[in-house]
Amino acid sequence: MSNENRKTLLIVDDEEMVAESYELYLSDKYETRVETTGGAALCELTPSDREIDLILLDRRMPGMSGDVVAEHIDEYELDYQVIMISAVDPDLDIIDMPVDGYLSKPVSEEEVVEAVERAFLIADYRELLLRYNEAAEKHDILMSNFSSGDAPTQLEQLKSRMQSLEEELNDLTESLSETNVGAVFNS
Amino acid sequence: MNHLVLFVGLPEFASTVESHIDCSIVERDSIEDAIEIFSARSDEFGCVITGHNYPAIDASRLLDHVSNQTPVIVIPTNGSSSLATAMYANGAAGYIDPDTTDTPVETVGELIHKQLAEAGSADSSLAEENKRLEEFVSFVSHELNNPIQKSRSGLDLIAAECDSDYIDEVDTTLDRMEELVDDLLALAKYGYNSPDVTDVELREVISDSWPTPTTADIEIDSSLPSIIAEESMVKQIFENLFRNAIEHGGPHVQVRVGMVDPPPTDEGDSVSIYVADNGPGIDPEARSKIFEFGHTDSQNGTGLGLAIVDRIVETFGWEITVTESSDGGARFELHGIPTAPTR
Repeated sequence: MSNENRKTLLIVDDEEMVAESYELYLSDKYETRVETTGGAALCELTPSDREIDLILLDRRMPGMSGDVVAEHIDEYELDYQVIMISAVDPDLDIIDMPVDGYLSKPVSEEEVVEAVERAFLIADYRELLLRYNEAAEKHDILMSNFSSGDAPTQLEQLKSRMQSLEEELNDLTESLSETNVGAVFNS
Repeated sequence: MNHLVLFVGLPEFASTVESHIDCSIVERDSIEDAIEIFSARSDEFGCVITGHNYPAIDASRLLDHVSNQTPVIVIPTNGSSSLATAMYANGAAGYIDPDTTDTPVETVGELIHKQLAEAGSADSSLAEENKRLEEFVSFVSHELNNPIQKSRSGLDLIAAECDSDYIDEVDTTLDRMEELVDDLLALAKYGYNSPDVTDVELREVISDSWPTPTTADIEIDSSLPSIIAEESMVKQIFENLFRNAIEHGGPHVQVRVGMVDPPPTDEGDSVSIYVADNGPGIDPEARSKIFEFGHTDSQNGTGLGLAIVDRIVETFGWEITVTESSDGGARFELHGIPTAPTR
């Protein structure tokens, strides 16, 4: 895979050694950046510069905590994927937390890699679903204007695009079915 | 602590006593009405004062409906010593005959205060103690998670830079510390709290408790019933029993789970479940010690697994015993597990 297509992760943990170990686990597949404070992490996230795709966020940090960083990201609608990693056991309070995943410390290499892959799969799914809905809506509007007999080629093209999107969606659902989220989709 | 006092069938007495005590009172004229309000709001009442004037007001009927936790004081019309004996036998906390007591109002007032204070202190100090213990264990365990994470990260970074036999050894030690912290957290969570029971599909929970991946083998009786328990606690029991079997019986141990007796025929019957393995078994002399905290014969054990099992079993009011299995391994039996009514 060429460097341009690689996704970029921002790793935020006040323990530099911990952040570096996540880098070690993930640098084969992704570009990585490290910040050791919540404030510095927020500075990396500017709406104009969309270089970062996902954030691995420590929850308990001196100064600005992971909770606050996640809230800011949510508030400014920055729309990054966020995985919270914490030594604090998840409590009911994570229900309202604007994060896409939650891991409990200590974490293993497999857990970190799996959580990142899963988050990207879900993002892909969302994106595909949006494109499918868009195509389906156009299709419905056009269909009401043409009878099926004299449908123009454009409409046929739209139909085949919907079909390929549908197949992609099915493939993705299958890869997701090995995760918790997949169980929800398939039910 | 509950300061509400329920007066039953004592209209005049209630209003006189009220001025002598500093708690709110609720009055009911009949035993039926009293039972109704007590059933609906039982945890609000710290004490019940009832008249007894058979057959119009029958205090023994009320005593049957009020749980042991709430003291009931009986104030009879036309009392007798045989009536007093009968009331105490039915669970009354006090019996005051206004005809034979010089200052019945004051005596009842004092008794109410005494009962409220006793009930409150016994309950709340135990609950507070448990809460403190739970918080402490939880705090320490979580504080340990951070240094374990740091060590794990550092070790993985070292392993990427160089090769050494010591890396694996430290890795195993870290795994053990992680397990110990998990056990301590489980203890804090399940050991000191009352369970929140629902119907639990035993077979399902047991197969979820089996560790994966593993080379060990499990066979679960397909006719296991649904039971009444808290699922997460049941899962903890079987997880720990399975971990114990694998730790002692080796990676290829065979574990069987089934019912000790034939399946219960009636709804709500209790059932006994066994977990047997073909490992080395447990020395009869050691059997009484295996449930103690910190007891372990294994290199990798935390010494907490079976102690947690014992703790949860006790919380549920079940019993656990250990014997030898048919193939010389260990056999744990859980007794007195209530089954859920079949749907």
